[in-house]
Amino acid sequence: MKKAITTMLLVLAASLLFLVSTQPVFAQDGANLYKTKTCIACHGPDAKTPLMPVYPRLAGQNEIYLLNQMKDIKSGKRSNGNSAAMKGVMHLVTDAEMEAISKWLSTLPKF
Amino acid sequence: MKNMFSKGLVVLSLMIFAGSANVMAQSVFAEGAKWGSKVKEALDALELKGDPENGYDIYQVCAACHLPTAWGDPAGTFPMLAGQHTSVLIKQIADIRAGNRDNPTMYPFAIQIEGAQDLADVVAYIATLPMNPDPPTGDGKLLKRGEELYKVNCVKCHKETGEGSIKDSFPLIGGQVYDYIIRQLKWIRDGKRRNANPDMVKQVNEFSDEDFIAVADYVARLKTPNHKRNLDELKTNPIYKNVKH
Repeated sequence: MKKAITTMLLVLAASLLFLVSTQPVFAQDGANLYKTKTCIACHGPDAKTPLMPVYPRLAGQNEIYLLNQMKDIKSGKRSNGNSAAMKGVMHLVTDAEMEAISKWLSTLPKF
Repeated sequence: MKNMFSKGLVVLSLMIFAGSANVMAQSVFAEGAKWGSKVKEALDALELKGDPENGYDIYQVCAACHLPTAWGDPAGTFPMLAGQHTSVLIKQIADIRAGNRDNPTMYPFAIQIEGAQDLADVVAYIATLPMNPDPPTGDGKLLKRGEELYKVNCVKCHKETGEGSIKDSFPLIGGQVYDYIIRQLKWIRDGKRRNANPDMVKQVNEFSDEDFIAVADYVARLKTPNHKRNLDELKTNPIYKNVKH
């Protein structure tokens, strides 16, 4: 009985460790990534004061919409408007990082 | 060259923020720089004394991508600006603003710098920054070939150390970010970078992509005289605290 419990506890500990280590980048990293991946430069520190009036505000936008736009600009599927300005920097972010950034942006106040 | 000239003139007149009179002045900087941009604000900025303190304020916008150290991005997306000649920086920003060099990412940042004095100020600030003592390089496998190519093709303008020439506006390339060098070389050869010196375009015309990898790896490792400048900044300024020196 004791051996069974010990084994179960070990398995539980290992599972938790595995879960934690394979977690995608957390949303709070999104704030940091937004800076280090240079999104901040064009979209503004609050994600709603862009450098150019024709650049979009991102704060409070829908998470999946943001992610799709990033992916499409990165792949070239979206190539309209100012996406040329953004395409050059998209290789700086992985899918996981784009997810984290989108998630964080969606939590920001719109106004 | 003439077509690009007149194209640049049209774009310039539409886009220069101050709306100043569009006078194409003769280059006053150096005989060797006559191939360079005739953009008026560039020529003006070259003659002005820059104020690095005002330049620091202007640079904060640039720092988001080029980093506070001005060492650029190791992946080569944004070049190192530290150590670059003021004449070269002035020309590049002016060319981007005027549409002589296509860079949609840079364009809105370039237009933040309003006029010749601000241009002189920001490059004066950048000139105070030390260069990266340990820049990213390639894998080192083609260095011998890179060295041979460099000595035959590049020394004449960029010098043995890769320092180029401030007077002739030949860029300092020694220690530049490896991947950035490769991309610019390809774009110069293929005509995508339209504001390159025509002699440069001719010089790299026969280079293969692998030649570029070889020469870029060699060049990224070069140490120019500018590397020795401002070295005490590395020791005293906290933004360099993680650098080994």
